[in-house]
Amino acid sequence: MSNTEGGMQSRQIITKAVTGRGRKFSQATHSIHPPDQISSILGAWIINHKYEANRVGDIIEVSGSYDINMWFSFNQNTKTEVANHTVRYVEQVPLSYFDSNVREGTTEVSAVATQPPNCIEATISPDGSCLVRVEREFYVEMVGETKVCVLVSPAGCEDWDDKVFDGGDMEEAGDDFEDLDPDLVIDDLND
Amino acid sequence: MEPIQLPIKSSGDEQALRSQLVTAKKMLVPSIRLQGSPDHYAKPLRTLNDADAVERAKEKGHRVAALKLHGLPVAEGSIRCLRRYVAVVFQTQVWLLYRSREPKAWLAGNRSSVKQGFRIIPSNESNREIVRVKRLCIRALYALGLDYGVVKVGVRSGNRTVVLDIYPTPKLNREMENAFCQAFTQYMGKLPRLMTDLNRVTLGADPEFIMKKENGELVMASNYFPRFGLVGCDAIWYGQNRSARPLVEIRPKPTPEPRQLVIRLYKGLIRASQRVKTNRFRWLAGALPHPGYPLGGHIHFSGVPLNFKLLRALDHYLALPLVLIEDPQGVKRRPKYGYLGDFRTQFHGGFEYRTLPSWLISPTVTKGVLAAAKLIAAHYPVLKSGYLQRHTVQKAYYEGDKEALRSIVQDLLVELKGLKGYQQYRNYLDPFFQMVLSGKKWNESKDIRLVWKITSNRS
Repeated sequence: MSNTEGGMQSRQIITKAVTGRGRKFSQATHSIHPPDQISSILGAWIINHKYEANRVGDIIEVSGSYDINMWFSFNQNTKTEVANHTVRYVEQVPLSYFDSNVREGTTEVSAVATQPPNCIEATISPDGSCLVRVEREFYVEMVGETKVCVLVSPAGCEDWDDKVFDGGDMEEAGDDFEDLDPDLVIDDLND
Repeated sequence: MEPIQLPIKSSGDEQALRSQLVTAKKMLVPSIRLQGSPDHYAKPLRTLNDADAVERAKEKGHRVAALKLHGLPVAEGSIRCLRRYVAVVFQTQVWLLYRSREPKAWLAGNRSSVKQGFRIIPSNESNREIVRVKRLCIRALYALGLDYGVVKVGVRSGNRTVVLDIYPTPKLNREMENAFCQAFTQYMGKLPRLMTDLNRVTLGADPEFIMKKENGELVMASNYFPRFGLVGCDAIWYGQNRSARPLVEIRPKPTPEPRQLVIRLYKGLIRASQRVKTNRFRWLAGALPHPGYPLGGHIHFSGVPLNFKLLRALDHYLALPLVLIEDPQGVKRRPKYGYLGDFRTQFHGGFEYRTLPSWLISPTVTKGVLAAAKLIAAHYPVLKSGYLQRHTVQKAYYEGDKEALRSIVQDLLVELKGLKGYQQYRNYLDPFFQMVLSGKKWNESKDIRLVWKITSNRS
């Protein structure tokens, strides 16, 4: 596009935009070694979830920890107690959307636990350890600087009111259908 | 219980309507028959919750079988769920949604022994799970041939949703009563004007095709086409390639005129051939020309309100006839895709009907489908057929049983021919109907460029 003839100028502006997105649901099983003589597991509760997100190549790594509080009975179900275990994890969340028009070195990533770690089931395995099944889901976002090309009105903002954009239909422009008339051809297609 | 009778042209008085819809025991009436003018409205449009469908839906064996046939996950016994949802559904919309309160801790032996409380989800709150649950509720209601009811859905571990129960005659609390009354009032208000002029309906489409190399490999559409535009690729990635899809989509600008739409589609095919520039690829359309890549021929409508009656008409008069000419290998597309009544609403207020396979398979089919779509959308209130209320007919659709459907389709086409607007699109509909009844089948392994008379090196 000519910058002078049409009276139109363009400018590149730099702005922050979401340049990557991803989501991951996962299940994990934590094995916890209980005290001896455990009779049964009565309940499990997950608390104190902390996490942070980092970019590693094209992947966002969410690393964090939470406490599993397990309520159990022992001595042939005559006593109960709560055991507390802190577990750490690293979750790799791939970006399902990535805009390569991002200025490298300007990106920041963040994660949200759309489903905070939640205990689904706790069981005693044959070898005596306790298995705690957990579900969690993260949504991650990458924000970075990107360039946007805008058209600039030479006369300032007031001038836009009476200006008609003659972009036409960009899709149709440049079509080369000289050798055929679809309008006629369509009626001859009989298969 | 007998259906209650309501006039089509109701006064719009919500209180009066409420007293008729809700019984003394605070139950919703099971079935409604609409009476009065416009006199030409046919039985399907005059019925809300067909009485037979209600009876069948109450019977568990039938309910489970019907939902499974439509490809919906359904609980057959008591199952453990992490969360439960209860939805008030009227046709294509969930009007009220409750979610069970989640227990903070997992407790041994807690198999719904503790009564879970439910809380309303505000209508502006949304996330993936809520969207999925709402869709499932609407599909479940549709699959059972109902128009309204309360649907219960559970979420199991692994984020799996499952239909737990459906109540066509639920007991209502005050909020549910309000929601149903609002839904009915809105629907009743639209009723007298459902029949429209042909030129009021605008059609769009985005049929898909794939390109196959001589060695049988698929060509990545993203190598040739942008994401957006008249010809584009359906979804692309970027990086790990795991979701890169090779589907090419033609997206002509919407128009009220089917002929114009066909011309735009044709231009799209030519544009595609100019971009690809080689004759070595085979272009394939239909339902499932390559395993794992089901194709769709979505049709977009605007200018007509969306409701179950229109969707059921499209299922009858478009989806059933196409079964007669489909390539048998396309049957495997269903029920995951191509299930009856598949729709999405669009931001501009219209909707898209997604049940059909890619009808780009032939110009005659393309022209016929688009002309029929328009005719049905404008005139469906007078269409009489309700074959798909029968389980056997639904089964024949999902299994692609041409013989079982042949005489039904014959009836359906005769009915379409009797419509006022038929003459206007005769030159597209006659050849299409002839093809449907000819006993011929399309061949999904054949290059569609032959029938569209497109060569790549046009100069």
